[in-house]
Amino acid sequence: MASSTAYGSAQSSGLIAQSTAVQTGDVVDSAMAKTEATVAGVPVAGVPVAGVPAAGAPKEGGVFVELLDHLADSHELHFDPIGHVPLPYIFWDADGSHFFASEKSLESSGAYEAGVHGKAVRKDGKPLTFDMSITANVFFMVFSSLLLLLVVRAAASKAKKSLVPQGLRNLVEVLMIFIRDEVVLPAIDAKYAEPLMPFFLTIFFFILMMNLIGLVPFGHTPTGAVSVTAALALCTFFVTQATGMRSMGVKGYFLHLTGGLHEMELPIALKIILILIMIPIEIMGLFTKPFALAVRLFANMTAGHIVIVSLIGLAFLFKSVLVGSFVSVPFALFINLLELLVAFLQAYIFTMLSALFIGMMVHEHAHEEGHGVPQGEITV
Amino acid sequence: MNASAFAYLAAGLGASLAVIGAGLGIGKLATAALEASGRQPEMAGGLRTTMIIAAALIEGIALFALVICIILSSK
Repeated sequence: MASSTAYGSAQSSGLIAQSTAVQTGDVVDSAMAKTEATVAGVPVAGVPVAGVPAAGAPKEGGVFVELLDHLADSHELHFDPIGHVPLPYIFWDADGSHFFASEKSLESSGAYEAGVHGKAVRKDGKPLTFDMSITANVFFMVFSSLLLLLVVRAAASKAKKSLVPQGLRNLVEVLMIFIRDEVVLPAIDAKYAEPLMPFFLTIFFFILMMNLIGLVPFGHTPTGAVSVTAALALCTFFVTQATGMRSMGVKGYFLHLTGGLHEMELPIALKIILILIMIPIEIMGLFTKPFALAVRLFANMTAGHIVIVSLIGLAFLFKSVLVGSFVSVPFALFINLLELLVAFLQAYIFTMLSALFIGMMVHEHAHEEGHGVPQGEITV
Repeated sequence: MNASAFAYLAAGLGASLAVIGAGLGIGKLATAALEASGRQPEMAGGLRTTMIIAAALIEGIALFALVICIILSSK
């Protein structure tokens, strides 16, 4: 499920003057719906009050739907009272590669238009083969990794100067030592943990930075998109399999898919039947773990934002300054602070579960070899 | 009521049932962890880690259900 379709059922017309995106939940319908909307006199600049329908458009959620729209990926950066910064479109289709600096130049090309969430759509209805546009998610992902590079390099250069931790280095070092000593080393044997430390530290700090950047005004949380979290979980998946193959050998890795049945003493017919049942289950188990990782991070980051949107939306729903100042803002502030905790917690949980999954692969190896290993030590 | 109305209803009911289950599960888990760390405060650190792992797994199951609800409601 693409993140752009998650709220796709909501019906809204493009309320921001530049954005012509019309959501009907269906890309094919959007061109038709767009002409209808323009005939009816929308898009309207500014934010309408909830409940008051913009001319002709079915406005069931009003401002609420528009706020929810901001959770999705977009092709421009929103600095709302000031304006929007367009982001470039880069994509391939049957005619080769295309580059447009902004949505305006995309529209003026004639052959393309901006569809749902500003996504590039061919006017003749043919699909794009490969869309590599710099969207808000991509922009903030790159931005957070550059920021991370700056912060960690600054901390590292301080470490070169003196042995005594100071300032920024303290902050980074505390987190690094925590990940090493409390998360990775208890889960994975030191022999395998050491070469994997850069991986764990990278995913921890990268996810943390992406989570935190969504809490900054005008920021956008890349981890609130399921495609981003799925890519991160895919990294964990590949590292898990590679570590499994390293610790058990390629043959041992494939044998472990029988769930250890291959070395049990059973009647041969029973063994074959059980192995035939076990192999699909074990293979499914390989994929459900990263799937759960991806969905957990995505849902947690999105849920917080939806709660904040709902609380702010209350003020518009009741059309009351009192509700706005005594309910919406204090509660939204509280949830925002809770989100700060969740940002750290989810980065920690992602890293810890990755470490656990990788550790299970290594421990299965210990189990297979392990006549010397006491049972109590291998349980995770 | 047409089919999509039923889908929305199912999504709402499904989400609430899944959340009830997860809430009960995590509540039981937190009770047990708190009682255990009250009895043996020196084990609190290890218990907390184990509790978070178990909570994350319970949460994962609830999220699987919620994903189905989101798919239902975006039909």
